Amino acid sequence: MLRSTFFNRALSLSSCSIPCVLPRCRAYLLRRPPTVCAYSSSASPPPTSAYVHLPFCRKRCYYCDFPVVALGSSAHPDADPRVSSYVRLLLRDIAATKPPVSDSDEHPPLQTVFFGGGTPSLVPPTIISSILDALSVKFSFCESPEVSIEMDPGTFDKEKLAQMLELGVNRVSLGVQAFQEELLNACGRAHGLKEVYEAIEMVTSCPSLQNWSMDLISSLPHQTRDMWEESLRCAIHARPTHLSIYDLQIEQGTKFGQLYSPGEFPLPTESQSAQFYKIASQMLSEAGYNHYEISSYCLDGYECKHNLTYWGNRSFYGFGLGSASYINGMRLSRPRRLREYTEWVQKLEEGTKHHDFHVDAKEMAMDVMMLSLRTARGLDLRSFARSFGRRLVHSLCEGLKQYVESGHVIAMDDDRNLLTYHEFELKTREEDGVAFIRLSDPDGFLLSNELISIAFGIISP
Amino acid sequence: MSAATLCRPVALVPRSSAPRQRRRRSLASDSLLPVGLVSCSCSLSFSPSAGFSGPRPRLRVLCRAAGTESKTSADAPSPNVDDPGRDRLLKVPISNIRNFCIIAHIDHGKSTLADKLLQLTGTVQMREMKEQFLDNMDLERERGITIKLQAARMRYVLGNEPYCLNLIDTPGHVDFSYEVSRSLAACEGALLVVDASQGVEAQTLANVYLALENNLEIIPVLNKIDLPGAEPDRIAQEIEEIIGLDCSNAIHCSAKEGIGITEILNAIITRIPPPKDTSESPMRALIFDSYYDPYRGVIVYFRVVDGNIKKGDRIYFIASGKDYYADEIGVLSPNQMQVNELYAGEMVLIQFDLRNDNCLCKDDKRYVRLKHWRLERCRGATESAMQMLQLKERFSEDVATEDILVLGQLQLEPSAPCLLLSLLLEGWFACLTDAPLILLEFLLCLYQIWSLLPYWCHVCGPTDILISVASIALSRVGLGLSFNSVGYLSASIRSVADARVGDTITQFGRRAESSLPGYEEATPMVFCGLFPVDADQFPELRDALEKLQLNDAALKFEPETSSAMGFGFRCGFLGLLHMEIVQERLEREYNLTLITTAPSVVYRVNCMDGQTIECSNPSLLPEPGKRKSIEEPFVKIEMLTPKEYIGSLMELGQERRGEFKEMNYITENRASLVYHLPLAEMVGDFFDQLKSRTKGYASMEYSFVGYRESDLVKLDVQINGEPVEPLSTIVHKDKAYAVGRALTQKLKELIPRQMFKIPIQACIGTKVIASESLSAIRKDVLSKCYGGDVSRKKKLLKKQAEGKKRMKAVGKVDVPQEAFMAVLRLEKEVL
Repeated sequence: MLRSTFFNRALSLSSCSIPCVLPRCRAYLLRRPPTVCAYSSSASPPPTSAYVHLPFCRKRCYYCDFPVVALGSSAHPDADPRVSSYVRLLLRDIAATKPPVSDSDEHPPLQTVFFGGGTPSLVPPTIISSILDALSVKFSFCESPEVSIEMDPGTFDKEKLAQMLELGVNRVSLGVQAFQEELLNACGRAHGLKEVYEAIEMVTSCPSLQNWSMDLISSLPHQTRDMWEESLRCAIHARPTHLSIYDLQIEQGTKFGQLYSPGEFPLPTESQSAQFYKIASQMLSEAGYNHYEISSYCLDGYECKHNLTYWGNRSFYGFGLGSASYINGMRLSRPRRLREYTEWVQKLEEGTKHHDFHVDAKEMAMDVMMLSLRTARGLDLRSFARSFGRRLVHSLCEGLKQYVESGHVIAMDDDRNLLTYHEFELKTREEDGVAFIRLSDPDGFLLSNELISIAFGIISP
Repeated sequence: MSAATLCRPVALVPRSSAPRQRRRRSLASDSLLPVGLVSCSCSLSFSPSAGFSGPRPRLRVLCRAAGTESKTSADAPSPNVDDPGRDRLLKVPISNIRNFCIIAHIDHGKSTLADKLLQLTGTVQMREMKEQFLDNMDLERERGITIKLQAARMRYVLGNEPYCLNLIDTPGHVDFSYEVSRSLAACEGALLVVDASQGVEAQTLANVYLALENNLEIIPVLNKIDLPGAEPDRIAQEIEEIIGLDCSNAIHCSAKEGIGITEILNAIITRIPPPKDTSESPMRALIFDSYYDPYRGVIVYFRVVDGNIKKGDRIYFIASGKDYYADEIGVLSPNQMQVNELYAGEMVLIQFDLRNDNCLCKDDKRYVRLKHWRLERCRGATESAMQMLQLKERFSEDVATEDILVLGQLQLEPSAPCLLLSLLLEGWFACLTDAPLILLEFLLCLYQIWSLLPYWCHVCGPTDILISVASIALSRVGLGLSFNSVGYLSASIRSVADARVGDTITQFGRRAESSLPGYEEATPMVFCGLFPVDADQFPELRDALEKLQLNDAALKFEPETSSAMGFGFRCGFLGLLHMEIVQERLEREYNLTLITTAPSVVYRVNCMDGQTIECSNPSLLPEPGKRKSIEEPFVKIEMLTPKEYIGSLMELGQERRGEFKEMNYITENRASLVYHLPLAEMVGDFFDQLKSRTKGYASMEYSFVGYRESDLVKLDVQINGEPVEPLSTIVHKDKAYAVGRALTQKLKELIPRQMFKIPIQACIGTKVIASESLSAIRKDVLSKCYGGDVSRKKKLLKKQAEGKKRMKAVGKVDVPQEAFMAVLRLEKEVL
């Protein structure tokens, strides 16, 4: 049985931006322009993370635009043919996916697996088992992998949870979203407040589960500041090791998209919702949580390793409906519709080339920047300069200057000491320059889109 | 003359003397024999003599003629059914020429009437007919307006007498009134078309007065009598009362239904006097339009007032002092017709200038042009012409290497010599690029034939091949564009400035003593800056403006730079419609994307040091301390309106700082209001306001009255403390506050919020008179980065980044282009 272990935070963070270059790639790299080598697609090691999409839900929440299959409240997921046929397809997908290693090399074992959805807790543990088996056969696991699963209140009981943990799942992400009955109703959740408390009780009372996360959504329709503070207090009280605080996005094609427009009643105004974000940041920090990514908080050492893969721009597998993968410098999204996904898997088995998207140097620079600026660690300008050139770093510093002055961007030296604006200006002119830049919390994070798109404009003028 | 003479093989001509002199001499020789029409078999060969530089192409033309059927006899020329329009080019006596134009208000049916006239006279065939035939710009057709004046020649037979009617179609909009004055000066009469349901409008009135000043015979025409609301009698009375024209013989017509068109044509002939016969005077022709053709240089539209002009004439432009050889002359009917003039002998086209040896140079552009023209015009009517065509195509493909050309079976019917000759000529042009002498020899032997050209043309119909020969011939036989006709010419004029509209053309050798009274040069009244959105398009914009200017003499421009907009041009227009039209043509015809600054007028600034500066650009206005006073242009505006709207129009006049001058009841129900008001106030949406306040019933006309001192200030806009020059305006002090408030409010709407709070201020000097503040963005964050799907998120951010690129940075603030644009519209609303 796999058990969760604490991993060394420092190690994980230092390795997140720049994958080490494997010796066998070196000769190849020498021939390539030096600007792209550190992040070069061909040089990236094979993925050690896998995302598995289990799209089944009781019903679609009003804000949700993920690829989801709503089973309905009466269906029994254990026996539903839709579930079993999907899983067969998923297993075929895993089996047919070619790892980016030659036969002689051994595939590095998987470090993280993430079951997302949908509501993965709806599917019977046997299915989780078969998927983990398939992954194990295909890629093998490291000694203590992080295996996360999203679970929704009301979709599991103690027994199911125990079974899941038995299989090797060691991290649960609980989709609570709110601690107000009326809000849960208003956003179309399939569970009530009672189920929320029950689920928290089950998760916290389970001695073999130490690492669990809670999801909350801010800026829900009719949500007030009091409600939001209440939710945060309840969450802190439950003391999860990790918290994901999502700001509601009104997506086109969702029920909310039809009903509401952002910033208008009953949605909170923009400044209210900015206020919510700041409250969360403040309350959770006071409660000992690290705001380590725009929407993620954790206790020391409980960062989501799987998500760090994404934010470090490292490669990962994606299996299942609508999932995205990043292998060998290729971004690839599987179809979001079941029928097209079926054909897609068919083609994958036949070996027909899929249209995927190769990330070139400029795009890579954008990816690295976009992802790392989401984190509290920020952008490592030294490795960025090595990969994409000093000149780009310089123009980036120039372009973001005014935001350093305004306090939206924070510059740091190698020891992660904050630089004043004056120091930043001086450093920018020096040869070794600034070591890190990050967005400030909460002001910079709140305007992250604005700031990142400004940085995009610098990379691609 | 015998066939032998005609087809005498051309011997080599030693290249002893200068080609030019040699040819002159041969052309000058008059010992020519008449040529009979014969079928012949001829073999012609010639080759350049030794000693020529460059390649030495040789050409031998073997022609075996087979006299098959002879189509028509010489004394019974049958009109060619393929080309019904050509008879209108037959020469008619001066007493049978009528030059006229049509005066009408917008939508009173001028273009429709013109269409009908063209149709009825067979000028335009049914299948070619389209609505608004004379408006050939896309923009004109779309908007239903006439921008450029057009001319058309029609032939009409009344009482067995053929008449030549020249119609000059004119724009109706007030902005283009200078075009109207140009056309009026070229006519002896005018049709006054009035909508029988609406009555006389201000613009019509102004033009009628213009016409009366020019001593034009005016024929009142009441149009749209088919409409249920038509009251021709009342309108006729109105015309009598307002203009004082006798309307007892006004023609009732409906252009749409084709009622009364014949009456109009008859009236044109019976009532409009023919032009005066001044054919013996030295040639004088008035240029009324010109445009630039990339292949032919400047094409000049003119009316011959005295004397006549022949192709090949050395012409002299009195005002510009330039002289040219007229390469090509033709009529407008309504398209340029170079072919048919042979019949009438009035028009001649010269496609190439034989006096210029350069044109014989193969790598010269002229040569290329010649070739193009040839291929284009190779639409022969007769079978032999078709044959020639095929041969010619082969011929012109690779002439340098092709030594022998076998003409095959040619019908040597009457036209044959011409065809043959033209072929030879062409062969000569194409192949013997460095042997002009051979042509000279040819010219000598062919001259006889040319003297009979018009006759042949009659017989065999117009073929393109004839033209090139004929044009040369005609310069000898003395046929040319005679006086009192309207035509065009091309003379390889490189710049429109050399052939300004209003200039008089005369003959170089026999200059007229005085020039004709020209037109007043159009003075631009409205100015605005035009900037390319993409700075790289600046050279393209310049080229486009230059080209447009060739076609639109009223357009003025000069380079301008602006801190916010980069490089662009300050352009002057006749009015707002003109401005809009130019912008649209630039964007449409030249594929440019433009930013336009607020329209302004030319102010006169009296400085402290006694200087007077003309200033149309607010950003160039001298500092407040340096200026003593500002004068602005005033216009006299006359509005005609049904009496129930007098009140609201007076209100409008007051609002626009107007000065009431007089009011007259022109009929019981209609009044005319005269105001003096600043042009700047009219430049905005005055016309729109006039129309909306009177439900569209009022019409207006304006004329410049002079400069007057006004209490004007420069209103600046500051965004985040940075002045934004393109948003500056000069306004009257009393209006500054309203404009300032509206501007800042509008900008607040249009500028996207940024990461910090931005003050938007309107100031006079340092005094802030209106202020708004744009709040900062509080939150712009995509919190969920789902399942590693980076690309979706990235797409959104990239889009956001793209959006930023389309903005102009004013200090730290990104101002979208739309803000600059919409502020212009707002100006109209407020001013």
